[in-house]
This record gives sequence, structure tokens and C-alpha cells, in this order.
Amino acid sequence: MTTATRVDPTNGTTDEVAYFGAAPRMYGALHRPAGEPRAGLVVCPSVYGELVNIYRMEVIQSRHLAAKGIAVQRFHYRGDGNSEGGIELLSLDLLVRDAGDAHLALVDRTGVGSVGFLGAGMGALVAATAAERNPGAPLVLWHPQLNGSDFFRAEQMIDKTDADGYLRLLGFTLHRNLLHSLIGRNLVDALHTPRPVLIVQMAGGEEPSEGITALADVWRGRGADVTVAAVGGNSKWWDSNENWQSHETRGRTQRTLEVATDWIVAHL
Amino acid sequence: MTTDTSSGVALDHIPVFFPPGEGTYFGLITKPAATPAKTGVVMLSGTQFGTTTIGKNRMFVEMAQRLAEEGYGSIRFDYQGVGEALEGVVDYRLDNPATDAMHAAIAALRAAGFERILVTGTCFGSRTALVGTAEDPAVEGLLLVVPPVRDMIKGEGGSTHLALHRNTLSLVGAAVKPSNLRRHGLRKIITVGCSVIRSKWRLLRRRLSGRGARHETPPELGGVSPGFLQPMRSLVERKLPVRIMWGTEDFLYREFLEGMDGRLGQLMERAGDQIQQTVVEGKVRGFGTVPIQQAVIEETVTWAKRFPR
Repeated sequence: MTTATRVDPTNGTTDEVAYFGAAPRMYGALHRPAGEPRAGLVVCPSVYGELVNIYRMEVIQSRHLAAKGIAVQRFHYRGDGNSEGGIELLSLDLLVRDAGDAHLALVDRTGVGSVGFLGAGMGALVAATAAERNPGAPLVLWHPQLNGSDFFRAEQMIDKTDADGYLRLLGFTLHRNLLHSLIGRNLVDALHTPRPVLIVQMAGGEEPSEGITALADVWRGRGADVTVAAVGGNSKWWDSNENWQSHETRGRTQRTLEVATDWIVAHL
Repeated sequence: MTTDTSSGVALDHIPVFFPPGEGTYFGLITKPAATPAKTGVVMLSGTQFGTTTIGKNRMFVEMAQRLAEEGYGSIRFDYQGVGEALEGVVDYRLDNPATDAMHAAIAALRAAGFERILVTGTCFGSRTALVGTAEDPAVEGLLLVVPPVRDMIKGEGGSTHLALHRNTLSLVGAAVKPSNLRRHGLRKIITVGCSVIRSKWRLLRRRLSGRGARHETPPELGGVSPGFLQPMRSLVERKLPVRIMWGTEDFLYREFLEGMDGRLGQLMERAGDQIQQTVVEGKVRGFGTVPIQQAVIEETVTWAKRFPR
């Protein structure tokens, strides 16, 4: 296995990029603190365009946390991003399995005992489901996809897949496996056990949306300690190409990192 | 070292931070596992993404795999401030291409054992590829995918094109057309409209100040940029084979054709078969449809196969 390594000369943290897991192998990036990590975090990315658009924020967040003593494992799901495998491998259950493999890799390589999960967009469904399998594991959600059926309008689109299960939509190739797996799945049902949860709303005003407020209320009723932060921003939380600017310069990036970093450090 | 045998050909994917010691950029080298590849392709993307190693619908991943299946290696990488690369705010502009990154990627390919270097790029990456190839006499082939001939401002290429080529009345008519409102939404139309007005105002100021000749318009608003013309001239003199890919609906293609009236046309005539073009139906820029993505991948593989492995 070839690992690309870079050490930050200012704080001694390390970025290690390598493929890992059973074939088809997953692309992974481990962000190590300078010393022994005191805890770990698995970042569950989204898929398709969301994976690419939120990518840099996840990298910056991971480096910030490594500088605070938390080891972070990022990865791409099998069949997406730079990982191996075809898109037929994308289904919610398999995404959760991949998150579990990333969790194991993080523990195996760093020895951390306490591990939390972060998920952005559609990755929130994965992170919540993976966290539920780890009692008490802190959970962070960035602009979560509340209902799986809303992703690529899965319920309507599944009927448009061809005989082999494929659908070309908006410049993306989708497969029936993913669409089918998302129908009927939602965040409310993904989490039933008590744990600290941070939900960051990254679009709209500074008031949480009705959907996020309702989600937080249900989870609180199940014993979770839920914090909601609305950092504001335009309706396209990932920003569109026409007004692209480096993530480092975006106010929303800074606000999100401030909120999330402090919360994660306090709860891990 | 990893392998992917799903296509029937074992591939190696090698992550690398480069240049050595600095690690400013991050790249993935993909190559055939079983046969030694001596020819490596540097893939240069535009910059308007969270990472530049994946591409829309994973097209850069598929492109790298297809090249490796044919016996060619490649490197695709994140520019500074993008993806896994080092943090830092970089002002990516067409008149300031990321040639340092390209040269560093070539060095990374050479360090991995590749002897023959080919370069391909799209949009900002194509301008970087053009300028960087002119600077590096060792590059043996160049493929430009919808290269901008003028120094348009990032994110304003389409709106400045409208400012240059459409009169105000026709633009207002198009903006209030119900089908356009439904398709693009009011917010997008207002955003583009404001950008068009800014561009028209810049043009008007130039004309009022008596400097309205086309070659004196602001570089982002018209004409073929010296940043395109000069390196292309250098490559023609070097007799380097260049291939350019366009879509019939790309406004960049229309601007290229308009530029053929002047010095660009003279240069193209002088180059003859040395500069070859592929024009496909539709809009290539942005890779908005799967057939276009496949056409670009196919074009890239076909182009690479003209060179020894």
C-alpha cells in the first residue's frame, strides 16, 4: 500500500492519504495530530456533486481538529469519488458499511477509543446510521438531508431507470440501487439512542428551519442532547460555480468551522 | 499500491503530495499494474470545484482508468487551496495560469518513472496547459478542451460574452421570457443581468474615452488574448502537435472562430495540420451531460494513443 504523507511544519499534524479496506478499495485520508490523539472522528461525505462541492470544507475541518488533538478519518465510498468500484455499489446500507470500515481503519491506525461521526448533506443519513451502531458516539450533521427520498427525487426517478438500473440525470449517472435504498429512509428514524448531536444549518437565515427544529425535538425526546446552529448563507449551501470563491475565504466556512470545532472538541 | 481489476486490467493508484518536501499539491497517479508505462498524461482541470481530482460524474477518474487500460499513466491533482492540497487563497485567473503546479505535476510523473509527457486541460486548466507546455520543451503533446481565447473573469465568461454579442433590448427580452424564467429562475437571471450590465458599462467607458478599438477593449471583454496567442505561436514554431476539442454550442468556440479573422487565423493557417480540431455537437464546457463527458474521455484516449506507450 502506498501512503502519501505530508507533515504540517507549523503544528506537526500529518495528512496521510492511502487506499484501504477490502477490494474494491476505498480512498482514505487520515489527519493525525502531532502527538497521541485523544479521540477520533469519521467524516461521512456525501455522494456525486455534493461530495465534490463540500470536499474542501471537510478537509479544512479535519485539519483544524487534528491540530486540536483529534484524529480524523475521511474517505470516499466504494463506487464514488476516487475509490474503486462502480456506482452499482452505492446504496445506503453499503455506504454505512463503508463508514464502518473507515471507523475500523481509524481505530486500527490510531488506537483511539472515543469516536464521533460527521456527515454532510446526504452523508448525514450515513453518519447518523453509523453513529447509532456506536452507543453514545457524538454526531455532527452539516446541512443534513432530512429525507432520503428527496435526494435526486429518488421516488420519482427510480421508475425512469433503464433495464440495467441506470439513469442519466443532470449530467450524473445514477443507479437504481441507490435510489431504491433511499426511499423511505429519513433522519428521524436513523437515531434512537441518547448522544450529543450538533446540527449545523448552512443555508437560509439564522433561524433553524421547521424540518431541522422538528428533527431536533424528536431526537431530544429520545434522550439526545441536540444543539442546532444556523450559520446562514444562500439557498445553495455549496455555492454555485458562477460565484465560486476559495472555501478559505467564505464567511459561512469560517462560521461553520468555529461552531463545529468548538463543539467537537468539547464532546469528544 | 492498489489495484482495480473490475475492468479486467489491473491498475495502480498512487497518491502523492508534491513537490517533495513542500507538498503544496496533492495528486493521484494511475497506471497499468502489469505493464510498464513510459508515457504519462498530466490532466489539468478548471478550479471551480472542492476538489479537482474527481470531476463531474467522476469523469477524471474514468479518464485515468481508461488511459491506464490502454497502457498510459496519468496524474490528476488538486491545485493549491483545493481538495487535499495545501491551504492558501490563490487568485486563479486566465492571465495568471497555474504553471508552477503543472511543472510540479510533470516532475512527480517523472519521479514515478514516466519518460514521455503529454498534457491535457480544460477551461482554466487548458490555458495552464497551453502556457506551461510552451514553457517546457520536453512536453510531447497537448490536448486543449474548450480553451478560452480571451482573459475572461472567473465565473463571468458567459455574461461577458452576452455583453459583447447581444444588444440590450434582446437581452431584456430574453430575461423576461417565461421559459427562461422557469429554466433559470429569477435570482440567476438577476445575477447574470447585473454581470452583463457591468461588462457593458466597462465597454461603454472605453468607447467614450476614445479607446474603442477592439484590440484596446479590456482583455476580459474581447479579442484573442496575448496569453493565448503567444504560447500557441511558440508551440507552432516548435512544431508540437496540438489538438483542440470544442462543442458546437460552446461560446468559447464562437469566440475562437471570431478570433480567426485576425492574428489567430494567420497562426492557424501557418500551423496547418499541426493543430487539429475536433468539434462535437452540443456544449462541452462544464461537461453537463453524460454523452459529452464520454466524448471528452474518448477524445482524450484517442489522442493519447497517437503517442507510443
